[in-house]
Amino acid sequence: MTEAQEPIEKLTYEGALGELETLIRRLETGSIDLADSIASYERGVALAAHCSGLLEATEKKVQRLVLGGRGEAVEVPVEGEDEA
Amino acid sequence: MEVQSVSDVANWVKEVFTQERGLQDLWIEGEVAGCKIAASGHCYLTLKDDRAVINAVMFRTALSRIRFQMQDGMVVLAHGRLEFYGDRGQTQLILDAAQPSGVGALYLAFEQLKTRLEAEGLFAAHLKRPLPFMPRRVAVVTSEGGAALRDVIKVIRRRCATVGILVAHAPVQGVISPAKLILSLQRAASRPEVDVVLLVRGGGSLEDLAAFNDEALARAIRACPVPVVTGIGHQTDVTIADFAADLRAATPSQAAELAVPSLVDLRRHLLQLRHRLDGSLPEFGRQRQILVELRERLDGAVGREAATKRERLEAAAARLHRQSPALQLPLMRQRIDDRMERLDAALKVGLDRARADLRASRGQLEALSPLRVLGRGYSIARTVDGKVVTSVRGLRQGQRLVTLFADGRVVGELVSVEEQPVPAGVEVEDD
Repeated sequence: MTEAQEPIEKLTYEGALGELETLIRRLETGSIDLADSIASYERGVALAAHCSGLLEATEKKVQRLVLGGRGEAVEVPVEGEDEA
Repeated sequence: MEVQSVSDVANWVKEVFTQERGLQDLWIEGEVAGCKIAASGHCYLTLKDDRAVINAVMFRTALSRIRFQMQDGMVVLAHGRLEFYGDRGQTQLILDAAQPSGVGALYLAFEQLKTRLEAEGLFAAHLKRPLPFMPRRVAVVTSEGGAALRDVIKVIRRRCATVGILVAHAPVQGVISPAKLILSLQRAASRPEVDVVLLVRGGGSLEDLAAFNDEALARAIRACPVPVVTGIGHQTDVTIADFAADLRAATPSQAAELAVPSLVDLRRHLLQLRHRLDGSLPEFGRQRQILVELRERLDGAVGREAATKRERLEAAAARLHRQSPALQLPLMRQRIDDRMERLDAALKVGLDRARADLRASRGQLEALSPLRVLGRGYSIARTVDGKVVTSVRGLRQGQRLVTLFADGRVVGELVSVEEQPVPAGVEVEDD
């Protein structure tokens, strides 16, 4: 691998996906040697797992921004909006 | 009884009109009809309401001063005086000023504000910020009771339920609306994890959308620390807020679609990439096949009398093999297996197929590396006693070298020996 490799867990979804696509293209053209192709494959698997993990994040709720007693912003959950 | 001539009566009427000060300086509102501009440049029209019609004329110089095109059906607020035109026996208004009233005035104000802010550079393309690929939270500034909010929540939930939604209420019409919209925009944008703000409102008349044609709101949008997407009204409605926004969507639903990616699409894409990644390894199987074929050809070509040479060749191949990256494979494979297990847990999809592929190719991998090299156009040089040449050092002019190619071998004498680095780009791949 010639490019500097960032730790996968720090990559954004977009960044990890972009690297995965580049890496697969290189593997598919066979333009890298054996040792690199193994390392590339290994990194590819990890990148895919990372992306997948990001997509599996827990479902988030809908919040409402309201004003508290002193005029400060407060977030409260919205009830009954789940099926909205 | 005194008999009057027509002209006398006409002049009398004219005189009465002139003396009636109210008729000489009047504001009149009515709908334009029968509007036409004569060759002289004067504009002839009638003003009407549902019960009466009055002829009117706007002379060329006055016409050139008004900022809009006089058209039939337009309701105008006009200024002028009433006169009796004896030649035709008609009363007519001589108009010296006019402006569209009602919707027309709003439109005019819109155009003027747009022109001014545009000239100031507030809508410049270089100010538009890109949206985050996957926002952590989307703030929605709109009316809590509106259909627009329901649409936005529905779309975001459907496409990407992992994105949080923060609703910041503000009335979307009425005099206080712009100030409330600005306040909610500022509050929502400064909340943690809010990466994009949607400013949305359902359809309405031009008057209904007036709150979004507010200069202060346009400036608040540009001052917002995160990108703002507008989705106001229907397809054809464009407001000042739309021009100021980082991205304009035609409707609230479309704004939601632009702000969050579709998880289904992302997962499908990722799965395709996984298949391609796995498919890129069986490449090794093809190379083993090439190796087998080459060995068969070597056997035939070299013949019995060259058996000893062949043994040396194989010894050389074995030596090459010991230097091969293929020997790192067991370690690599173990690490891959580790990752595969983690992937299984994360993806919740069976990767048995990929693992089986990998095991199947394990044996193949052991043997492939030297031939992969030969198959690509590399060759292996050996000394006559079978030593593989890895450096020009120690070679001398006149020395014999045996060079192995994918399909045979040559024996040659060295003409010269020069030590220098191989220039980059020499190892051209041919697939």
